[in-house]
This record gives sequence, structure tokens and C-alpha cells, in this order.
Amino acid sequence: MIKINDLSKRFGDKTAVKKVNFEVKDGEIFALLGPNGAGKTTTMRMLSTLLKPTAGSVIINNWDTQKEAKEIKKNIGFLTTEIRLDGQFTPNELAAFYGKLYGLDKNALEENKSKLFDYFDITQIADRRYETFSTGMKQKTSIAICLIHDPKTIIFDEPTNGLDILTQKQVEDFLLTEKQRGKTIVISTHILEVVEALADRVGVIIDGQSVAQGTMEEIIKGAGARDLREAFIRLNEQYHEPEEIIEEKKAKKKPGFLF
Amino acid sequence: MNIIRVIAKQEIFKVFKNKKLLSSIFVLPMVVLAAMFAMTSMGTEEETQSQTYQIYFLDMQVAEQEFDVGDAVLRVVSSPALSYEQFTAENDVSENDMVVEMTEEGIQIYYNSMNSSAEELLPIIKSNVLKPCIEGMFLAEQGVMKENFEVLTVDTSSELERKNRTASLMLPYLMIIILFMNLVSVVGDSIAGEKERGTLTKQMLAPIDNSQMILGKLLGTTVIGMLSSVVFFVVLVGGAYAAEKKGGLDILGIVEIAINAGQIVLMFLGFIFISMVFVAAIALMSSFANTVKEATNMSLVIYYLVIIAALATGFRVGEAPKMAYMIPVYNFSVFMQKLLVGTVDIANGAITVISLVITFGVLAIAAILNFRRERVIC
Repeated sequence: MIKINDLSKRFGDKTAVKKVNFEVKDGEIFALLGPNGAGKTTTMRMLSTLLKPTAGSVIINNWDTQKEAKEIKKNIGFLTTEIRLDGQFTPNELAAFYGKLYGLDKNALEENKSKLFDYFDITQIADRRYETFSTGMKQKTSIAICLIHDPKTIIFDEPTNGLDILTQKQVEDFLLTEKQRGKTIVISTHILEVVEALADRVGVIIDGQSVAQGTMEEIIKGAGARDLREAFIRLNEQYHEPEEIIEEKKAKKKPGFLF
Repeated sequence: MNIIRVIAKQEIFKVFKNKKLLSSIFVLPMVVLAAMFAMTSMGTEEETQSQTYQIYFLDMQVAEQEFDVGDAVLRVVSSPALSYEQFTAENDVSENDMVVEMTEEGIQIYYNSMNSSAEELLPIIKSNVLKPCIEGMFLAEQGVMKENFEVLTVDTSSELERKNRTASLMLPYLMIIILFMNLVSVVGDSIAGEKERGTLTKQMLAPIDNSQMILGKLLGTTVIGMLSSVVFFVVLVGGAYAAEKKGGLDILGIVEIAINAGQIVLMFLGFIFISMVFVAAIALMSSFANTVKEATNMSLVIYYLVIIAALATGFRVGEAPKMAYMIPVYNFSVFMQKLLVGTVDIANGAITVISLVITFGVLAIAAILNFRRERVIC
């Protein structure tokens, strides 16, 4: 369970995230959708304890990211495109290293590793250097290493970015399986197909503000659109409308929507 | 502690997996060393520096006076009736000083050939200082001038000092520079390089403290720095032992080195502490940087200080004051120099070690504190 309350982040005089609120239940996939530079990655980084919020709080499984970062780190698997693995190591060496950092015993490490490596077709190349892998294999290895400690919460920033359709499908299927295992999953993306394939609920974030939240149907209906793509475009347009129109819309806003 | 060890091991493992880094740490220094020896073989003429020489006349009535001889000042000092051995045991006789003693064999001048100026000044001292002084002494005591008096010179420097003279001037400089350059690439890559590649963030997501992480990195890179120095040193000194029958290794016909086991142990300890200081200093700089390039640029500030400290040792003449052993890096350089010529003082060694440990502690704490700051991971 993840609870985000009035989460804000400022970098100097620039506000990257402004009073974002959402909640993700166990066994649910929540997708944070937004254009580039909307504040998705900053929000995800605050969720993962890498960034301290300027205001507000993030509670994951009843732990506060600012007070109990260590407990949260033990229980989350965070993946972002900016996070990479050391290219000169093999998947086996990386798994052993991160397993030790997460305090896994030998048996747990072997069990988790074989499950993940088998699923992502890494076993055959587990003794080859990571830097020699293709983009897809690198991403799959990153996911496997990121989840080596079998975390309760999975936070993936753009998990399928740059992947071919087959690998994308493999990653999506994996996330759906993990969801069925009761894991809490948050993904951020600007790819609508990923949201449609995975998300139970969606949060739309523009310029650091949460502008809409709900199931896909609720988002589409609330924006008066025919599909998610149209809803996303409309929400973006509405956000950039003149202030007086926004205020007028806010007065008549639907639940879960900024306007 | 276990986590720190795991990270340290990974750091060491990482270097051994990186062939380029491996060769730059272990092979390049030896090439650089040979090249530097070859280059320094040209034009090694030393300049006489302005300094004061005390000339102690033991149990001889001479007027205390000063003579200006070129850039040097010769100060004649009359000393009590003691033998040379008693006098040197009771007095702090420096490399610059000379002692004149009247013996049955004649007049003996004890001087230290480690001070090249002393050797150059010896004929001048004999004719301009010693002769008038002795003449005056004879005239005053006996009223007659002895026609001929024999002056014998005794070089007080040890065989070890003479053998290691050139080495003692060059090696501390070379060791310090090469060790520092090695560590810039290792430590810079370990911290700023990992930030640049995004691998540090992955490690920061593990349930460990940032301080544990940087301590692990400090430990791992210190071990690498020490290994690098040891390999470099072993290659150098190993040759000396191989040529022991010849009395030392003649490197390119310029530098002779003869080192005993005790010196090697002390040098090794010296290297441990200086490696720690360098690692902590570069780690501190790297903790401010986001790329290896930035870390290298920032480390240049320390690099210049290191060069100055190392060069200062090479050009130093005479005894180093106690104060010198408190200045980090310079103290190591002086310590190494003294060690090579076998005149190391335990107290000065202890001051050097304490100073280096304190410096390491301060730099490491600063690096840890800075590493804990949020902007490291933004």
C-alpha cells in the first residue's frame, strides 16, 4: 500500500512536483501518466527515497520514506532508465553483489535469481559481461537485479522504454504476474499502450500537478473523450487554458479531477 | 562492517576486471618511472645553496668567527674537550656541520658528503678557515708555527646514505606523484564515475547508509592504491636485491639503491598512510563532482599541492625541521627520503604517521558528510 499526501518538490525556485496525492492498494498497478518533464520521474524518485520531498509525505507499507528509508528500501524494487548496472560485471556477479547488499542468504538469493533469470532468459548468458548485452537484455537484466530481493512494492519508471514488442510483452506479463502475487506496482510512462495493457488506475500529471485520477474509464469519461489518447490530449489542453476558464471548470469539477 | 567489506571487495574486483584501469595502475607507473629516471639523468648538476656551516673545533683554542665563502657562511665554534664520538652523542650535529678534531694521526675534519656543498667547500675551508685558525692556535699556545700539519678528512655519511643519495632525492617525489595519479583514476571512477554512469544510484537504493557505501569505497580504493604502490615498489626494490652482490641496483647507471628489510617495512607502512590520505582527499573532491572529468579537474588542486610538497623534498638541503613532519604529504616525502638514507628518526616517523592519520580522518569525515547530502543523488 502506497499513500502519497500533498507531495511537493522544489529545485531552487522551480517547482517540479506540486501537491500530488494518490493511493495505490496491494495487488494493484497504478500508472503515472504525463508528458516529458511533467514531474513523473521526480515523483518516482521521492517514492523510492532517492529524493527528499520539500513538503508532503510518502507512506509505503506504513513506513514513511523520510523517517524509515532503510525499511522502505528493503521492500521496494525501483527501476529507472537513469539507473544502470556496472557493465563489466556479469548478471551472476551483479546478483551476488546486490543480494549481499540486501542481506539475502545464499538460498534466497539462488531461488530468486533462478526464478528471475529463467523468466527473462538470462540464465544462458549469466556469465557474460552486462556491457555486451543488447538494449533489451540489459533492461531485462536490470529488472531481474532490481527485483533480486523479491520486494513487496515495485516502482518502475518507463519500464518498457526502447524495448521491442516481444520484450515489452515479456516485461508487461511479468508485472501482471507480480500483481497477481499481491505486489503493489507503480509505473510511470508516457506510452499509452503500456497504461492500457497494465494499469488498474491512472494518475495524469502535468507540470508537476496531478490533473486527473481514476480508472481508465473514469479518466476517459471525465475528460469527455473517446479513448485514453484523446483524454490525455484534452487534459493537457485544459491545463494550459486561460486561468479564468480553469477556475470556472474547477467550480464544476468531477471527483478525482483537477478541473 | 560486513556491508563495508562487501562494497570494498566489489571495488577491488571492479578494478581487476577493468584491463585499461589495471594497466594504468600497475604498468604505466613503471613505464613513467623508467622514463623519468632517464630524463632526470640529463643535467643533474646541483646548485650550491646559501647556508651556514658550523665548524666545531674540539678541544682547540680558536677564535669564534664567521667567514663568507661564496654563498655559504662558515661559523667557527670552539667546543669543549670531547672526542668526536662523545661530541656527536651529546650534540645535535646536522648534515651541514663539520667537526675538527686533533688526533695523533693529525687533524681530522669530519664532514658529511651527503651535503654536496660541503664537499665543494672542503678545500676552501682547509685553506681559508682551518689554516688561519690552526696557525693562530699554534702561535697562541706554542709561539711557533708548525711547518706542516696533516689534515685528514673523514666522511661521516654512511655507505647507505651514499648509495641512496640520488634515490632519496628522486624516489619520494616519484612515488608520491605516481601514487596520486593512480588514485585519481581509481577513486574518481569509483565515486564520480559511478555517479556519471548511474550505477551509484542503484547501490544507493539498497538498504545501506551512504556512509557505509563511501567507507566501503574508501577501503577498497585504499587497498588498490596500496597494491599499486607495492607492485611499483617491489619492481624497483626487487632489482636491488637481485643485484645485492654488486651492492645495489644501478638503474640506468644513475641511481643506486640498497634497501634493507626494516626500511621496506617502514616504507610499506608509510605507503598505507599516504594512500589513505590521497584516497580520502580525492574521495572528497569526487563527492562534489558528477562526472569523472569534474572529479579530475577538482583533484588538480590537490595534485598541485602534492607536486609542490614532493618537489620541496627533492630540493631540500640539510635537516628538515620538526615542523616539516606535521605537514601532510610533505612529511611523508621527507620521511621516505630519510628512510632511504637510513637516518630516519622514530619520533619524526611517529609525528608523520599521526599527522597522516589525522588528515585522513578529517578528509574522510568531510567526504562522508558531503556524500550524505541529497544533491549527490539528484
